[in-house]
Amino acid sequence: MNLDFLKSATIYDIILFALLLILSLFGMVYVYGGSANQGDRVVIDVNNIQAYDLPIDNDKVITQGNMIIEIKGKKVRVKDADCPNKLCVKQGWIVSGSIICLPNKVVIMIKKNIENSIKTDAVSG
Amino acid sequence: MLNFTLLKKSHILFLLVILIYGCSHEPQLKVYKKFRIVMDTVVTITVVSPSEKDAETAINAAFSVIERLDKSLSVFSPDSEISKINKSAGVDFVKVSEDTYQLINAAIKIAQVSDGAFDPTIGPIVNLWDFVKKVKPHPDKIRDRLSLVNYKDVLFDDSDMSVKLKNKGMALDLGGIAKGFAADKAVLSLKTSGIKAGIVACAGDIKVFGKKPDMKNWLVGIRSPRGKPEDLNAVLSLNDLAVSTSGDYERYFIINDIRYHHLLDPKTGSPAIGFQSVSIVNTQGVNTDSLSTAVFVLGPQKGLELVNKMKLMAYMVYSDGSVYVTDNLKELIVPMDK
Repeated sequence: MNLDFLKSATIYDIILFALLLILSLFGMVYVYGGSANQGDRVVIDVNNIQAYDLPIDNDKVITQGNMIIEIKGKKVRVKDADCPNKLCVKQGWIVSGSIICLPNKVVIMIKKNIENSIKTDAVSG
Repeated sequence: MLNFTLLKKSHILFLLVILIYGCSHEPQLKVYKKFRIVMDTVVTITVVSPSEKDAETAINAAFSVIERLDKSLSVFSPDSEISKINKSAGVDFVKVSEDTYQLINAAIKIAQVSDGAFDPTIGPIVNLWDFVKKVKPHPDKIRDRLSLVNYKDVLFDDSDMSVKLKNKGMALDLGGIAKGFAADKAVLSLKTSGIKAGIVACAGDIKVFGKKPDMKNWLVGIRSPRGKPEDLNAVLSLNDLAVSTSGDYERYFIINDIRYHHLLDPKTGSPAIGFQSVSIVNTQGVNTDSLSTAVFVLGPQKGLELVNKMKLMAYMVYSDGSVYVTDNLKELIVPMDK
């Protein structure tokens, strides 16, 4: 590009050009970076159907079939369940990830914003 | 007074910026994630897509593929193709679908390369153990059934894709390979739906493809065998690869300080010893799932021989908690705080 014209630029030209550049850059940042920043949610699926979507900030006890699920102090646990090995109960309080009770087909998941949460995208094991 | 010539050129530059930005600006890519309980585990599908509707359609189609496979392969469903083969053991060939035929063939190949450390005919032994009710079968019962475990007695008829187990009482159990296979097929389905990047995680059998919206690789953690489910031993940076982990912490019970877990040695009928977990990375989930089991069952020495022979990428945690990582996997490990 021929940039000879810059030699005759006045301070106003430069200000105008800089302004236009900043405006366009700002627009790009706004479009790419702008997304809602919701708080963490507790999502409970039963039989592959979402049964609850609750804020983790509100303490609550839920009775789901023969399971008692407790949200307290921004943590979640299965307080009691009728499944044979009670792995879900033994898992205790969680602040991230999920509790899965296969016998009851219940998945309790703490859903965080993708932007501020993911350290790993999946776990093998 | 403004230099109008320059002003015009500024405008042209501004328009150019807008034009370049406009051309490069595709609809914003987002990550969409859904999970379902299928194959007796939680399957999570994650996709990158510019459209929520497209993502949902693709994810649902991929779940349908996994659910269809589950119906064919489940040993718990009496109507599944595997159950039909098992019921006809020693009697008849059973015609099966292309996927089932392909999977049984793949299972036999892994059985061959691992010298039977992975054996899909381990069904009669698996049925003796109950890791929920803590049932440890009597050694005599195990001994009686060991003769029924032999992958060489699976007979194929390529002409009509039918399978027969040679002897009565034999039973296929594809639990050690089906999830990895399902991950492969689900990824194929997502790609057919036009998805360029994503993850299919059939519990610990994970296959990733493409890159995240920030153009970085997917990060997959390897669970710490003796920690909480969220505790990780390592994090892998993966692109177009599958990873599976076989661990002695998945289904187990402890009696008199002895851990009885579900990774049974087809030659002894008892839990394999030597490892806490084995993770294998490969391009195909069907390989990672079965080979992680095979290496686990073979134990530290023979397992490493197989790893080296097949040039597998492996992350192995021995019984004492010490870790061995193959050189070809080291470059995929990222610092845990990333």
